[in-house]
Amino acid sequence: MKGILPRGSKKPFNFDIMNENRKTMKIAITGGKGGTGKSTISTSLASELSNSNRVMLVDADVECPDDHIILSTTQEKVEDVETLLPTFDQEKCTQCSSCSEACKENAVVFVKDRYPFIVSGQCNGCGACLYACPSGALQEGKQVVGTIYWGKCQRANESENLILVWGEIEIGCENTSLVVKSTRDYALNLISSTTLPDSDSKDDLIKSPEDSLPLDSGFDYVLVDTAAGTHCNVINAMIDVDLALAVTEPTPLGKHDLELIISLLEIMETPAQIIVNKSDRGDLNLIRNVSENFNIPLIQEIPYEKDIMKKQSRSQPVTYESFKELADSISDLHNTMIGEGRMHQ
Amino acid sequence: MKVAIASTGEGLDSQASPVFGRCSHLVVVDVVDGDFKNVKAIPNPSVNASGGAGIQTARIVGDEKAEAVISGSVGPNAFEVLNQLGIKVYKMVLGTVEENLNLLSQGKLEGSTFPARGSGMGRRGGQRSR
Repeated sequence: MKGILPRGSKKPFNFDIMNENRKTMKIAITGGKGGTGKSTISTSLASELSNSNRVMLVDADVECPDDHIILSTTQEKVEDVETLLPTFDQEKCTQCSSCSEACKENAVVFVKDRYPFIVSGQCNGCGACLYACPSGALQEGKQVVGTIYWGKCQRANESENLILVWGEIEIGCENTSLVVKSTRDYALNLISSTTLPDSDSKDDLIKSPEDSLPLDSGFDYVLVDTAAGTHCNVINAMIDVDLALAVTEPTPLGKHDLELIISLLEIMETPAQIIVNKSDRGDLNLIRNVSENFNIPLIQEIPYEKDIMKKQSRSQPVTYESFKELADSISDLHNTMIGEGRMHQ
Repeated sequence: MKVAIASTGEGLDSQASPVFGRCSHLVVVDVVDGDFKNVKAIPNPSVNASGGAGIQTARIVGDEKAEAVISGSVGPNAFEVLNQLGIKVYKMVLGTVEENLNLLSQGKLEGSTFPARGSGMGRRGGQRSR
């Protein structure tokens, strides 16, 4: 993660932090408030951009990924996300309770005169108990906390240019940020491995079933659709992106949560732009004020339009003027960055 | 039989607690032929814990060697621990600790065989930002 600067050292549009080794532009679609249309905009923008670019959409809302449903993609498992889970050897255990005391998650339960045991759903895999045990009674085991999938669009015009990667957490498991991080790492690895000049080593870096992944020409855009909120899951999804699009709505709650996410993006030194969805409802001045106060451009207004939801619920491609405009301004920005040498071709 | 009651206070006349992991006190009582002996109130250190409160509270019940618990909702983690320790869970009715104990000795309290819905009320469970 990049160094965290104190608030105030604001850099609203700092191109310098972009990864200069790639032409791929990495964009997070986030926004703080839930239900503002992050997934709607992610999927629509992805399919709009894929008309003339290669796009990877990463659904990092691992607690309820739904972009694969909206885009009606294929679904192939890539790999499980695993975390450490201690196992106990009762023959070596001296019932000293060190493991339980070391556990800050209260996942290791020790009751007087009994052997300790673990509540696996509470364990975050930190491994502190293994260090704490003086008698070597704990061993390193594993538990599956989530799964990474990929899929391609089944709609003809998008199938070659748009692929989706997403993570899904195990039901009942709380270790969300790890699954988000693994999904993001996997997706970003895919980009870097395609830019390797040596095609032989590519096979080692990419795991199956990428034989069938259409990776040959790299990606122009990676869009990361984050969860709502400003917590670890969202932060993990946004690390290393070139731009964050904060999607909001013109309501007091939309304004409040927008200010939170922008403050977070300032700390993360991530350039941000604002998109207002349902822009003809509520009071747009609320959002305009935030945009002025934080010096973050409001780049697109998307009116409330029944047709968008209708098409989406029928899993049809959403074509709409606002999304075209949005895609155009994103590709203009991308071209500017490449033109200014911020990104290498 | 030794019984632990999730309570909102220290005595037999305190109200029984509708929550387990974050109840303010555990009242531990020896129930012998309908009499309540050795009444002991344990302040619950997990009342403000960020996570795993139910697990810790269940551990205290285990340390006290109680054979039964009377409480409102018991979450999945706490339920799993109580289960592993072989401690039976009874569902409380609104009223004092003593009233619940009376009902238990008359065999009128319902046993719980499954945990309350959802995960704990800790920092990651109580207020999802979704």
